[in-house]
Amino acid sequence: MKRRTELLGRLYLCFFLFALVALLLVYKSLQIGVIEGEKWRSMGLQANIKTMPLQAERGRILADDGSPLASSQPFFDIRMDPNTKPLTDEYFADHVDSLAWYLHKHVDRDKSPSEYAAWLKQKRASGSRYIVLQNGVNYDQMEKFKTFPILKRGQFKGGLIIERQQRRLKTFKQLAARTIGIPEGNRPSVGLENYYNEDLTGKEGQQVVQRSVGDVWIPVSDVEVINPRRGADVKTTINIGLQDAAHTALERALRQNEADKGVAIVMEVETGAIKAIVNLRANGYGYYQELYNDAVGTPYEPGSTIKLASVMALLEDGYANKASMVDVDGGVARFYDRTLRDASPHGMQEIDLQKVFEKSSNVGIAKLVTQHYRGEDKEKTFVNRFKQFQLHKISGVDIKGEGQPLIKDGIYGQQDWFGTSLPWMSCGYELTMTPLQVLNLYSAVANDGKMMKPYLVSEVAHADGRVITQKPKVLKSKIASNYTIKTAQELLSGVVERGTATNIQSPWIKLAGKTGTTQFDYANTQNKKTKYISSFAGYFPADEPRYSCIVVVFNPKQKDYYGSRVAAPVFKEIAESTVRLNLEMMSEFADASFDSREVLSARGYQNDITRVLSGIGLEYKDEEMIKWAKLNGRLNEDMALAAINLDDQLPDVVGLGARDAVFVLEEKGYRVRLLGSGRVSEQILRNENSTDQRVDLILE
Amino acid sequence: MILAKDIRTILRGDGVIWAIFFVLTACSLLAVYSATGSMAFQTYGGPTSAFFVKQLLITVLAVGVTWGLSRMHYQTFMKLAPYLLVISMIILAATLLVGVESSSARRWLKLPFTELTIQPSEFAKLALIVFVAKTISSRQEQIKDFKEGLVPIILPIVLVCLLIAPADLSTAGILFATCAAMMFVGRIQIRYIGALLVAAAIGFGLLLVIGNFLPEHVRVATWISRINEFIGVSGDEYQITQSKIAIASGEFFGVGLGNSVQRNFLPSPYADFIYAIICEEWGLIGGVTIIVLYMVMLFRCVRLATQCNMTFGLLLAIGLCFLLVIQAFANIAVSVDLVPVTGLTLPLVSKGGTSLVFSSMAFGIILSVSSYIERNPKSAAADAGHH
Repeated sequence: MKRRTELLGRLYLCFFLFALVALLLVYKSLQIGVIEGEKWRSMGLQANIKTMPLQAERGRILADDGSPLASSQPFFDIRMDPNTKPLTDEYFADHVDSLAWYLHKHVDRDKSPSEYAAWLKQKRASGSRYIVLQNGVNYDQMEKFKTFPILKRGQFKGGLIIERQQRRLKTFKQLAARTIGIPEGNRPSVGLENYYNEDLTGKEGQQVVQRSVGDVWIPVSDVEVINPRRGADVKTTINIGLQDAAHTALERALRQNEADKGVAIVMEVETGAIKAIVNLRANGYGYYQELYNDAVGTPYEPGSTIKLASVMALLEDGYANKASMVDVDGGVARFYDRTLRDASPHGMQEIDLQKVFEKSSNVGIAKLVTQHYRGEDKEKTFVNRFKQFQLHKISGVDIKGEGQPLIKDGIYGQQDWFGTSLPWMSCGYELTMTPLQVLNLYSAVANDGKMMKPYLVSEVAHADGRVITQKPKVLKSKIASNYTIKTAQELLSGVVERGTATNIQSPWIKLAGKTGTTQFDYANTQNKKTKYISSFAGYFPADEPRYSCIVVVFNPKQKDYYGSRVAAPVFKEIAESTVRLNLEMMSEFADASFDSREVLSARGYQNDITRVLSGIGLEYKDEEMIKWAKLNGRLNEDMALAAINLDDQLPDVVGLGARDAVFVLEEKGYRVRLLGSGRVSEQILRNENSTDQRVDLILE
Repeated sequence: MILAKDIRTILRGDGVIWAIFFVLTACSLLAVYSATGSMAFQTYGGPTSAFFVKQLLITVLAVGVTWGLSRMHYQTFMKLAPYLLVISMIILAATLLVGVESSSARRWLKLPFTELTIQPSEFAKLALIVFVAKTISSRQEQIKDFKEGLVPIILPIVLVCLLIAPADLSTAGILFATCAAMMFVGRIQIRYIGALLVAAAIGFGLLLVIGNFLPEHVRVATWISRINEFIGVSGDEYQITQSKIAIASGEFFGVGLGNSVQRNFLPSPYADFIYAIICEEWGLIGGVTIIVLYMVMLFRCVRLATQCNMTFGLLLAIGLCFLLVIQAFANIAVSVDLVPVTGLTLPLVSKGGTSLVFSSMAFGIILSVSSYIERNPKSAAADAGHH
């Protein structure tokens, strides 16, 4: 019994001690939860721990073929926490020298390993929790850091901190740069990056970060993150080939004419899809850059290109037809106190409307318009025709900041309406529109009167697989009667056939359009030299329009300033490049219009030549199973491919394209140097007697 | 009531302890259910229900183990005790040499031909307690003697604890404390126990020295940093601060099941810091209830002692109960910032298979004792009346 009492006594004592501990635990719980409750609760809300957004990868902006125009490249900032707790003094001391050696070798060779080691030791000793090892490294370099001594132990044990950043890259640099735009950042956001920002941004993730010494936030290890969701890919209607062609042609014209700035837009007639949009401005350093979206944002006085609308008004009202005669008085006429002149003096007197339009006579148009619309109530009806053609409305293209067109109301006696307003307006003055808005009128005429809404984005593809397709939208299904549209189309073809733009007739494609030469800044009497805006708006192929295009060149300072001389050649070049990019466009036309045109003798890889020929739809005789060939004969007459021999020790590559020539020569073991661009016009063998023979190819 | 009677025939042993067992395993299921709502699970989407089902299966297994052991006569363990102890020592030694490292602690042993890993220290805990209970009860006559009473008991304790300590100091610590308490209750002289504690301190010192030479095998660095953290030298008390915020956020009635915010900030919120999460979700009421449940279990074991003689079974039940309660209180003490961070789980409640199964085994054996032990005639009658 004594034993039992002793045992129970000791057991009760244990129970008592356990009870004390239990009470202590309850007390501590209450102390934390109630007595100090406020303190801890407020700390929970407070700022030594917070969740930080994890940037989602921004979606890409794509061209019409899906290739990227703008995309985000990840890069990484590499940091280290030299005082992460699991990093013991011994481990650090053992490995700091080899880490220093790696940093010397891979980060900064100018800093010796001992300098690095001293720096790391000093940072550890001073209690630093966040030191910069390298900024802006790419993925491969970042992976390399993970193999360095100490750092390879990871974030918690090795103190490696990797911070992911993003950089926005435009694949084609300047091409359509302003339209692609700039995402939110240091500079204000513009373009598609701005308009589609919400789609492109994606959904942020979350990460828990902890405040560290020096007000730096470092990710808390062991705590999970919510991964961000990638932004949507925005597929544009822009065609890289066309954009490149338009950019190159416009830039050359701007340089040749020393212009201030220029715009070129190419639009698909049937849909309103913008295939190319170029905005170039002189940047003050001697070259041109995409600096502002003048195509969408800058209204200007369109000048003669708007005569299309004036003539369409006359046609709609039945006041005139192509054969209506008007006396152009040699190109000078007075309206109230002002003299209106044609672009250059001529001797013409009585001519028909067709000729007035083709020769772009200001006097002729103004006379016809004033003749039929002069009078208190009538002037407004002329303006209302313009409004019928939607000239007073913005196009609604998906770029923010579209310029508002300014069309006066034409109300007689109102303050902005002068006696001269009607004639001047009919010639494209006293009203302003953006290049895109002018183009849309031409596009509607080309599209048999159906006005489409210009657009830049065809598809938004979200990361979760959702794809939102933007279909073409009709702004107005009929802007004028069939008769008016048909006559307008004939007039526009006539401008290139017989009128002011005969200089841009193309053997490859039939063009239609209207020149424009606007004086601007005329109110400024200080100007010694008149300033001009040179433009050309139209479409092609003239008979079956596929693309509409406008080229506007602001203030050309060389001797030429006429739309026909400055802007129209750019239009032609763009039109011809669409043929190059859409071979089937040419076949329709080449078959009909060219019969016995001499073929430039072509040499090259047989498959390449046959692909081009059958792409155009030309007939030719072929030899089976040859590799390299040349094409002889005249177009559609006895064209034949013949084999050529490139098997000599030093093959004769003259006449081949650079790519083919390099391929042939390198296969024979030569090193090749290219001089110039184009086809090989001459080949020169260097170091003939050495083992290291080189061929220089002169290209033209 | 017939129903109650049926339950009594299925669930043998102390009804209150059964009740506590079920309440605590239910807590563990709710905790895992809540875990599936945490940031980590939302992020990865994934089969969260599959995860819950896995925990459910483990729980069913645990209940089965408890039930099975409760129906097995505890005397079986007495016969097995020496063998179990030797086996556990061998696998502990093996783990120390060839174990699998996880979270920089070598505590796991990979089973041959499988992907399963087990934690041998969990097994060793049970084996040692069974052995100590057997030795103390069989040597009651010479218990006050040093050579005959103390040495045979103390040697295996020291050996097992030394084998566990290098990789898992906290487990060694609570095991040692449990054995010391058992020895105390088993009437070993207090001065011997005192001397033993001093020896333990010296042993710990030796371990530190060895650790300096074998850092891969002894986690001295972690201990020092944790102790530094606790006494506030390092200044960075991230985990503890988050734990306190969790406890305070729950106030009295909690933010509700699955609504914990702090689970996103606390490392292993469903193991080491589960008490804080329980306080946050179920309030201080919930937290205090957990403490009370463990105390009631201890009370039932003490009550059992008042009813029977000093035997192997009684010491076994008391020893296992001590083990569970000490570990529970050590876990809670971490969350309320009474002791340094240890990594001990809250028995039955914390997520984790090994811990749950071995805790269930402890419960099963305690229930077996309460069911099969021979009661003193007087108190047995009283007990029968109680039922």
